[in-house]
Amino acid sequence: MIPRFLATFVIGATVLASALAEPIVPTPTPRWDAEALRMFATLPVQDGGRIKPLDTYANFTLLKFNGKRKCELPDGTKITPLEWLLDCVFFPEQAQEFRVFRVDSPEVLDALAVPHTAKRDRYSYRQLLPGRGKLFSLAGQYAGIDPKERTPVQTQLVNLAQNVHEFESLTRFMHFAAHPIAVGAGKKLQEIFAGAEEVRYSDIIAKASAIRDAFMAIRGPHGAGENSGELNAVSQLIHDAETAGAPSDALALFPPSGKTSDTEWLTPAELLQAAFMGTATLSDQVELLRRLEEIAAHPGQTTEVRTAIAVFHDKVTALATARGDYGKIPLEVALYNSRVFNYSLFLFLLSFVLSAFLWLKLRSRLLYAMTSLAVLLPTLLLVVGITVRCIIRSRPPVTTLYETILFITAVAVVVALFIEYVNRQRVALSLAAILGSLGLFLGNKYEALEGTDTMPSMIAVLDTNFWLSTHVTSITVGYAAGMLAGAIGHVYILGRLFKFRRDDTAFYKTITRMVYGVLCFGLLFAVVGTVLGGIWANDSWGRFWGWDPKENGALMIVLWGLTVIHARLGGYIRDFGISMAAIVGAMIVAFSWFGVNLLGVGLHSYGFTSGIFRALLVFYVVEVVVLLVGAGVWFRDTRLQGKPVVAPAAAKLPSRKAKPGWTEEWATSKK
Amino acid sequence: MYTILRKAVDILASYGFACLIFLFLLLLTYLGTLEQVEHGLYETQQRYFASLFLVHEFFGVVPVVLPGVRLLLTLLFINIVCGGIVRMRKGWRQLGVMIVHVGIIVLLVGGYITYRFSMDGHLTLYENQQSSEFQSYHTWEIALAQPNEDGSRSEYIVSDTMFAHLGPDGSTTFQAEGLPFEITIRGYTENARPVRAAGNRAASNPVVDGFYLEPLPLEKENERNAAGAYVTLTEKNGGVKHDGILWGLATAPLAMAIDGQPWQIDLRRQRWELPFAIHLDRFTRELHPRTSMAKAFMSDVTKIEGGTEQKIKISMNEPLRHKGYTLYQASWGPADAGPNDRLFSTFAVVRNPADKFPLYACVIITFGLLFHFSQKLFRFLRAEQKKVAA
Repeated sequence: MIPRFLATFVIGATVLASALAEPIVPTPTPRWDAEALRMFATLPVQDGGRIKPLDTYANFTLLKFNGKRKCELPDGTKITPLEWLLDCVFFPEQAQEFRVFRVDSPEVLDALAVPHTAKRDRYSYRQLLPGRGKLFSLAGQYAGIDPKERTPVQTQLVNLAQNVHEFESLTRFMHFAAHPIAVGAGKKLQEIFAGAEEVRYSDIIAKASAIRDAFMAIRGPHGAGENSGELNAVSQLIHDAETAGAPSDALALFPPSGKTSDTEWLTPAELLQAAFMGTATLSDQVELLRRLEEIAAHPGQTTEVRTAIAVFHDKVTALATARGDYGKIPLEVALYNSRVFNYSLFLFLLSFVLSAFLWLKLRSRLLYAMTSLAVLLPTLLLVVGITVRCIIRSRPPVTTLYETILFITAVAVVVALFIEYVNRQRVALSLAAILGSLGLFLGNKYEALEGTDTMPSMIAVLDTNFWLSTHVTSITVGYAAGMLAGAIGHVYILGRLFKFRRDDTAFYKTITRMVYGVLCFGLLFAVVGTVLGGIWANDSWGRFWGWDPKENGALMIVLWGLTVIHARLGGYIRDFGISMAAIVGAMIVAFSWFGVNLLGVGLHSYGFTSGIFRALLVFYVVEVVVLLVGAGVWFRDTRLQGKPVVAPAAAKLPSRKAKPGWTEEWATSKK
Repeated sequence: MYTILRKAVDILASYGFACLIFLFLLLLTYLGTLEQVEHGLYETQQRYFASLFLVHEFFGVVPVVLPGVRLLLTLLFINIVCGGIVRMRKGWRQLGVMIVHVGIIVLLVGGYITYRFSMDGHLTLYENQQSSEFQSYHTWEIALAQPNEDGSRSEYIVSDTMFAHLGPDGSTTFQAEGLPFEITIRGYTENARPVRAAGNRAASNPVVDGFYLEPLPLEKENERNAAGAYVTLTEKNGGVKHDGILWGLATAPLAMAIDGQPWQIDLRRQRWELPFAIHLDRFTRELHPRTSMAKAFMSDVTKIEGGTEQKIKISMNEPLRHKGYTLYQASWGPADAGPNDRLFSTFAVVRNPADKFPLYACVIITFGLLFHFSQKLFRFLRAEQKKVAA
């Protein structure tokens, strides 16, 4: 299939030729006032199968192009995604100068014969323009290659071409409003437009049925005959209107009127088409187009424009509300504006610093209280953020890979806080800070890497809240516990390595209990989640188990958990072994969580990104090093000194009565 | 003898044995997951998960014999019964774990019943089409049919368990009472295509009627493999031989006249009869607006059974269950259909006596785990509180 962006290449080329010919006029872009921005932000638009705020659309579009949510202007000022989007739409000339296309490899630019500045940099549309033809021809070539087989440079070229195409689509959006359309000679046209020489796009849509009738009347049953000149004028008018309309994949800003069964919102080009087909009454939409034309005529901060924006906003909102499409728009804008996850990350980092101080002054109650508060606050923010996301989409917390990151972070932190509440050892508290920071950092990175809406529409088979809330949630809780157990395992190994509290057996005993407790907690959810997944599959496809990679990943976590539990009961592993096993468990979780997606096979291989491969590799290398270090420490502490470090033989443990809890397991194991 | 037996039971019931099984299962699951990338799901499944033993080549060069998942699950069953039920300490504290073990046994038994007694296939219908037969995704059969006067067909079926194991070099002959000929099957190839023996292209197999079967490498998706075989029909009266080529994707059966009677020989996916018929009234697919992403697809069908008709909607996650058979909305087509084209809908058809076992197991396991870990948690909390208090 030829990608859509290539199909519009020819149309775009014509427009571009004129753009190239025009001299670059560095006129300063008038900025929008706060009220206008607020109204544009909450403007609903249909994209990716759902109605979302224009602000969200702008955010993810810029993130996809740029890798971040800011656009730097040539003069160094920074603007928000929404401001950037509005510039693209209303000031396309200027927007072409903004360096928003992030290119990661110089080879990409070499392939386009475009001079590059640094190894990794951002380029403006105008900088890329000389290589545009080459870009689209190469992308067309590489689009035919299976994504798994493409080289990184080929993938980047295909993505860049898509981004450039989308940018062009945006910058052409208001093309319909920028140039009036000449009404040719001919009695009927003069009648329709009351003698006007030029009309606007909205006028043509308003009079579409009259124009169509005129066309039919002039042509008559036997052709136009002597009226062919007039027929040509009508054809020309329709043709000009079509050319003025934006590409069909531009913003679908126009909701259909009333609560019709028609679920598709329309673009200006589709409005024109619908008008001539006579499929819908479009008076509301014509009204909206007129407002856009007014804004485009004098964009900036004039009173007329402010009024036009307000009217446009209110009208779209009213139409969307009538269809039941508007409900959660303000909430979504508020969620993104609040930057709740960014603040949460910031606070987690702060709490991490505090916890470092806490370890220097372990007995300081003030520091302990401050650190606890510093962890609690971002945890709360994170939970609130996730909850709001659930409310916006009326979904359980996890539906995409990005959401697994948020949710797993939240669960790991909450469980760690619970452990801290129980044992007050400061270990779990510090881990909560670290895991919170790491998780949200990873989430941010992942979001930027994907550059797509993180609240997308669900494909048919996943579209069930019951299974998403049971199976998916329990599996991800299992993942979270596996990761947390692994993290606590690190504390054990590193503590031993640096001979921290060397003779404090109780301290290490507590850590082992934490690791083991969290492992069991994780196993509970992993087992139940995995079986539930099978039941779901049985309900959807008629098979409980299909050896799909993601299923296998979950099974591996379960099997590892079972191995650890039984190995401990059998007395094969003890404190050291459990911590080491927990780290291996975390590696298996990482394989199941992200690794299997890299295989690119199976039903669950959603959300694959090559950047993940690098992160995963780093994680594995680090973990293998920790395991090797752990093995070395174990050898040093037991073999070289000829005595076990912590866990003496079960018989030597305190009696069951004296120390209830986990210890009786040791006795059981030696029965 | 008794001590040896006792020792054996000790080992089979031990934690160590359990750990070993888990670790092997883990390893095989991992290897089988990676192997899918190269060899596709079906072959991997047969080799790693449905086998007793297999040889895995580590790093592609070092061959190691490994136990297959089928063997491991059998051993796990023995281990869990011996160690996890019979020999386990019976007490209040072990109750939760005991319940979990029972749940796992239910799951394993369910797996065995599914493996032995379930069948699955698909039923594909165009709108306004009706059928009471479904066919396998994987297995083949050879049908020897004689058209009856009333337009129906009487069929003799040779199932592929009787010839698929022969491979390209083996051959076997079948006969049946009432069948006027013997049929010899040879040169069976799992994936092949008939090629015209023309020009200077050397035929890699015997040529029959100007064609020969060219073996093809196996497809990753087993559904895409088209089997082929050579057949010779030898008339019982007079011993006249008729040669032919059978191919899984042939558009029409091979037609031959035996003793002056018309016969049709067909290599096709194995078929089973449903105790009811399904008529596809309408297939609907919904896309998320302005995308090509499926939001929902569903089939409106009529179930016809002994003169009674019932209108039913089958959709994703909403299958039709009737008389032990379950029909799931599996796929649809043609993929490139326009708005007014006639669509077909494919239902996955499964008959699995252990269909509900996983659900029972899940309930039992969840209950057992919750019981056990709650017990532990409370004991743990109590201990910690005491410690804090002290």
